[in-house]
Amino acid sequence: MTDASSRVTREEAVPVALAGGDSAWLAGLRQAALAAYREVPWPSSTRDEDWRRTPQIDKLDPATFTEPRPLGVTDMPAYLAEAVAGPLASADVSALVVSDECGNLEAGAGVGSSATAQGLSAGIAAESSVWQGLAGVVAPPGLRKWISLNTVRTRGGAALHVGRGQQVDGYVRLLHGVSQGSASFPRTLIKLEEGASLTVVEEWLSPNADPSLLVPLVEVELGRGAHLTHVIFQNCGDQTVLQSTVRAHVGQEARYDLRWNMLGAAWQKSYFEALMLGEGSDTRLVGLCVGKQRQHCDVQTLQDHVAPGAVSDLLYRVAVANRSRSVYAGLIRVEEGAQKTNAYVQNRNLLLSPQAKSDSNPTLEILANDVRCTHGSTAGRIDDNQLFYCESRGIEREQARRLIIEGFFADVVDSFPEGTLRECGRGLVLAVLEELARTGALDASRRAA
Amino acid sequence: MSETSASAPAALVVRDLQVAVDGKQILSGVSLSVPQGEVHALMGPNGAGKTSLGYAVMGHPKYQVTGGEIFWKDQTLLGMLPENRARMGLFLSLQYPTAIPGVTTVNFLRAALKGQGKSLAARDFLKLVREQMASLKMDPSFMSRYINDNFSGGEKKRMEIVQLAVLRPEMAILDETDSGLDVDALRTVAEGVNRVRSDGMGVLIITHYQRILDYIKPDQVHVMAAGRVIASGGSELVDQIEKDGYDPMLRAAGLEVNDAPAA
Repeated sequence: MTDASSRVTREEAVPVALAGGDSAWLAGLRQAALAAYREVPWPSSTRDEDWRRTPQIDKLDPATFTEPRPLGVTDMPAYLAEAVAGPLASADVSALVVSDECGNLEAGAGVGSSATAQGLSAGIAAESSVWQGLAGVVAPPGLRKWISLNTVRTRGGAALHVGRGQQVDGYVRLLHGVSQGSASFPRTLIKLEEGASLTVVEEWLSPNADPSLLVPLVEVELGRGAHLTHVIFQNCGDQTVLQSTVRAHVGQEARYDLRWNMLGAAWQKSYFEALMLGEGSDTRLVGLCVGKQRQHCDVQTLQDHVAPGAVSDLLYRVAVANRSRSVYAGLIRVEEGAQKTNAYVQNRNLLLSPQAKSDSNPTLEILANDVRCTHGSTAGRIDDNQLFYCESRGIEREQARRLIIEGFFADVVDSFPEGTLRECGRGLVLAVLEELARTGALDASRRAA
Repeated sequence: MSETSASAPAALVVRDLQVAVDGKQILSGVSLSVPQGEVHALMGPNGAGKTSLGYAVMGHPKYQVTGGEIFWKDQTLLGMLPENRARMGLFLSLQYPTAIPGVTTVNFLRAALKGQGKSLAARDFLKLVREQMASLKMDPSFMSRYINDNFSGGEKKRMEIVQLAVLRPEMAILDETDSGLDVDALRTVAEGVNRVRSDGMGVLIITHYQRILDYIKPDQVHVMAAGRVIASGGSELVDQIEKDGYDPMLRAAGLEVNDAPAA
């Protein structure tokens, strides 16, 4: 193996890319992650329950993606430049951080007297004592292959730190991209000290046509009474593979609001995990996904109640069209001693074509005896009576289907922060419905009496 | 059978209509006509096929027409999609209006008007909806609520008449719009129908009770049983039914008198 950019095996892919120029601490973290990477076996659809319904993993080899070509920091790829100027570019943006496989392209800034939103390496360099207790701690490299891989290879991303009692107005905007047949491993570190509050919007992006691999990893730590609103728009290109992890430590009386809107990628596996470590915290995880063509969206969530008296509420709505497939597994775990837990998980699936599929498996694992936990999942087609009701009032069938699907997502969309973020979320859903209508995916066969 | 002496041409004509649901015959030869602008009442015991007739006229795909004809203004409705029947001026007020979670009342009504080619400027549209809701004694907050979702039975019925008033059809079939309404709500709903009627709308009222007919006077009354019309006449039929029930008519039609007919 003399040429680093030529094909290497799955196992050899990583050492080649071990980044240099780190501080001693970060180098140590990467070395530990590398050891973990070598220890954790590759995920397998036949061996791992997590991957049973996503056999695409068996054929994925990160080594097939080219090494990043050096780009100037000001030389932003067109698809990222377009996204930067997109509908989320409002007056409410307090800081902007952009990264792709080459590293940070837009560096961020201070956003308050004791709040910073910076590119990953600058952020780590400036406050390494803050990040030492968080990076690799919230998401331990030994937990999963993709976590160790991200930790070894990450070059770009963001570090957001909000000091005690600081309320940051507007929102911080983070764009993570990958292009040119590359693999990109963005890392986002978010730490809110006691009583701090922040809204962060992340966009996971890539252009159409070129195969690429995007592996974002987000670590969140919320201090006592802190409030993080965390919105994710996944709008990757149609040949992109996405392997994402969001993992949060929610402290005492903290509030964590996570919203996700997933519309892109060829196939994806996404973990959303919240660990309720402080008493009386409140976590709301609300997301949506629309699948089309042969898209495959595998989402796995964890609500882990370690401390007593916390609330967690998850709502995930999915519509699958054409031959797309949704896989969902959601676990509520209530640890021993986490009494007075209130936890809910609900997944609803709308099947828009007979060839579309959804698998849903919400589960409970309860080790405390004084808790309230419920879980539920549904899957079904658009209701014939609702369709007839619309049609009998003069609404043409395709329009009726669009109206009903939009309605299906209303409680998710309406849970996005009011204003630009909610309108953007709604706009993205409407655009996909428009595309589905244009390609005939909403045109069910008709018969009249 | 029910040709009227009125000069108005028959707008809705149902002739020997046979309808099956899941292969089971529900209507076995219904004939009736409603001339433009007239009010006809359709009565009859449970399971007579009244609701099925309404669905068949509006084109619900579950109600398969296996024989006979339905004409609206000399044009056959058979094979026509429900939305096209609505665009031609027909309206069916459902006995149990469907809830559509996530779709607000205003969005639903806007889509319906647009679908019928009757779009209004945003301000005129909202004013119209607000006015019609006020006249049906509905709180304006219902505009932003999801249509029929968690509405009470009475609220759903009033919302049907709000839609009737906004959409202004030429012919409305009201399927038990009076059921589940208290005296005051019944009057409010009936007055709502009468306001739209003043524009010349025809009405076919499906009902079990005389009460609503005190407010909306029928020109003709039809009585259905066992999937067909067994009697047609003037409003004296209503009094007769109030007094003696359906049994004498059923016997005269050679039908079995049964307390619990199949639904």
